[in-house]
Amino acid sequence: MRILIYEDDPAIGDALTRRLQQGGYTVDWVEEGVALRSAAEYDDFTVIILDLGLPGEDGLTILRGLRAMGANTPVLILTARDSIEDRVKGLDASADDYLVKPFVMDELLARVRALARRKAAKAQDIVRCGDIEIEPAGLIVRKNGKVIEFAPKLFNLLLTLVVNSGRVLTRSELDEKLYGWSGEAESNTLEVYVSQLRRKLGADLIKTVRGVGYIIPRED
Amino acid sequence: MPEQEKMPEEEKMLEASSRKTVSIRDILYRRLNIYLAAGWVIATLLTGLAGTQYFNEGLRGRVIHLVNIIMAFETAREQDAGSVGRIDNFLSDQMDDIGVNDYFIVVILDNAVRYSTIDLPSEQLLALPLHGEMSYPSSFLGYEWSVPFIDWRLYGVEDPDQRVRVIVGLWKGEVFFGILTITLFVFAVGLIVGAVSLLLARRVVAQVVHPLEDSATAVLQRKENEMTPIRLNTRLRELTQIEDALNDLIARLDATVRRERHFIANAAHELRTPLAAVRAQAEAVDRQAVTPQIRGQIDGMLDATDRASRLIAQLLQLARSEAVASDASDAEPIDLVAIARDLIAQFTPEILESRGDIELFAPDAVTLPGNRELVYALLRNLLENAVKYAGTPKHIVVTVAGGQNPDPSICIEDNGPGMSEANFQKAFAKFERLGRKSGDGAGLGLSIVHDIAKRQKLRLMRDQSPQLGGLKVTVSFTRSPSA
Repeated sequence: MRILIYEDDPAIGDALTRRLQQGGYTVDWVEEGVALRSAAEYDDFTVIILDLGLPGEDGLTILRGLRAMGANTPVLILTARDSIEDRVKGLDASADDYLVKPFVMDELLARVRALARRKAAKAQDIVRCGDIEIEPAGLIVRKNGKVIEFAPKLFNLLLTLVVNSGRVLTRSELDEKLYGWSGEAESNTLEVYVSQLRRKLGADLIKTVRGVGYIIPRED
Repeated sequence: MPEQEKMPEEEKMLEASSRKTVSIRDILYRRLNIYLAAGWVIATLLTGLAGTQYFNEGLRGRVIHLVNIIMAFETAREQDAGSVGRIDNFLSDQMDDIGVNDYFIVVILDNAVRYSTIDLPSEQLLALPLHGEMSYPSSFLGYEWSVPFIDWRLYGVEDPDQRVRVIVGLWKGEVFFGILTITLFVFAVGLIVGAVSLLLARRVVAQVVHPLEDSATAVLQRKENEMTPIRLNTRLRELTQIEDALNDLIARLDATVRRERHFIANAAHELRTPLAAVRAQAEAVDRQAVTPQIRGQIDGMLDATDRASRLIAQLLQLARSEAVASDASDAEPIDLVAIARDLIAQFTPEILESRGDIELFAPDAVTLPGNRELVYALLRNLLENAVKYAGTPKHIVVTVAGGQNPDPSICIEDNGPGMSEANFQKAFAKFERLGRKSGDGAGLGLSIVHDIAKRQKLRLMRDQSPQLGGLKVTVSFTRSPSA
């Protein structure tokens, strides 16, 4: 898996490169790279880590540029700005995740893994989470190598939770992902689905965050 | 931002109301009243004085003329005895309607009374001097005047042969009452004109003062952090000058605030990026390849960067809370439940790692006006504290109340050691000691919470959690009406 890093701070870029390489990733580190690549080149990467830099617009310009070209690679933004406004600005420019400096390296690695899973799911590649393996193309779920059958809606719910593992998905987010918009499902449909998933895959896999939503905790 | 610039709203209001001020309207009204009254009195007095003079002169001139005419008649040619009487009767008839009884004519021919219009014995008439005064009761306006209105002034001529004497008497009261009438008339006209002028002047004053008052309202109604130019909607040049001056001030203020905000954002970036570099480098060390002592040192470094980054975040929050207007007028609708969900979602992975648990009890939404950034920062600090000080495993309960009946509030409980009321109050003040006491950033969170609560006019309550045993902090969003 290849990671592209846009980072102008040598110490951060160096540390990121080393840790990601230790984690088995191939890393391209660009220190000052406003020159855009082609969409295909971008799509060769699993995840792009983008530092938003001091003037604030450089990173966002790159992000908008690559999205305009049609590149779908997930982008993780690193920034020093933590106001809600800045966060919204970043996500509006279609970043996939957002990490405020200084960040915890393990947190960054977990986010990169989550984004990699998201990319895999989009590309219909196999998504792995602990002892579970999901093949989006064939709607196939394997636990410890054994195939388990799921109805499409249940499969989608599982895939959504797995792709976002390590992150709480709120009820409305899940409703929206499963039905296209929130509110269509009856109030307890989600609970029914989650309990069906638990019955088939084990009670510990999905945790309920009462009043908020569900989470598959990250496995590290 | 210096403290004196951010004077609390109540103090400003108090200062304005206790300051002695005078309304332009009142000043103009008072001055106009005085000027008009003075003008009126002076006009009346001058009319009286000048009128007396000219009335007197005019009357005397006419009488003397009359005397000479009669004299001319009497001496120029032989007249029958009744000619003067006929002239006089004719005049009296003409002036009967105005009751002229204020002059008399006496004609003496060859030492005998030829004609007289007053009822006096002929020896008294013959003894009348040519010049001087006499007393005789007048019957002006059909009323018998007594003292002091019985004086008459005499005007007389005599022909060179001393055959003919003509004497005309003029009632002095005539002058007095004539002047009195004119003066009263001027007085009354002055009163009417004055009253009308005053009414007109009030309208004019109102027309001038209204735009001023409207302008003051326009300025007062602005939000504290509104930086768009003021529009007073006036064509009055004096006001447009004020408008320009205000807008100039606003523009400069705006620039300063922008610079300040820019500085905060830049400072955060400048501090966070090197901090991130230190942290990333420390974490990039292969822990298996180094001695336990170095591992310990690295942990120390990581701990320090943690504290520093928390401090930066909190300083930013504090700076933002000061940059935001304190009144509720700039509020946007915010959903407390959505904010609570978002924050809980952020802390959940950490809590789950410690095998802990966090729960939210809330209705679907509790929407109220407020400043999102500040409420978010306030709740984030409370939750951060709860996560930090919760027991093992961590257990946290967040309750949002609101909707129709209960007042909106958020309550955060943990299973930590709790906090005494005294320590809770002390933690509020911690930030003020920050300048002198460096190092430990812990507890700054509560001081920020306190600061934001104060600015957003929210109430904070501390308690012991009945279900978890630790600290229970309640934020009440019911803005007290007195605040």
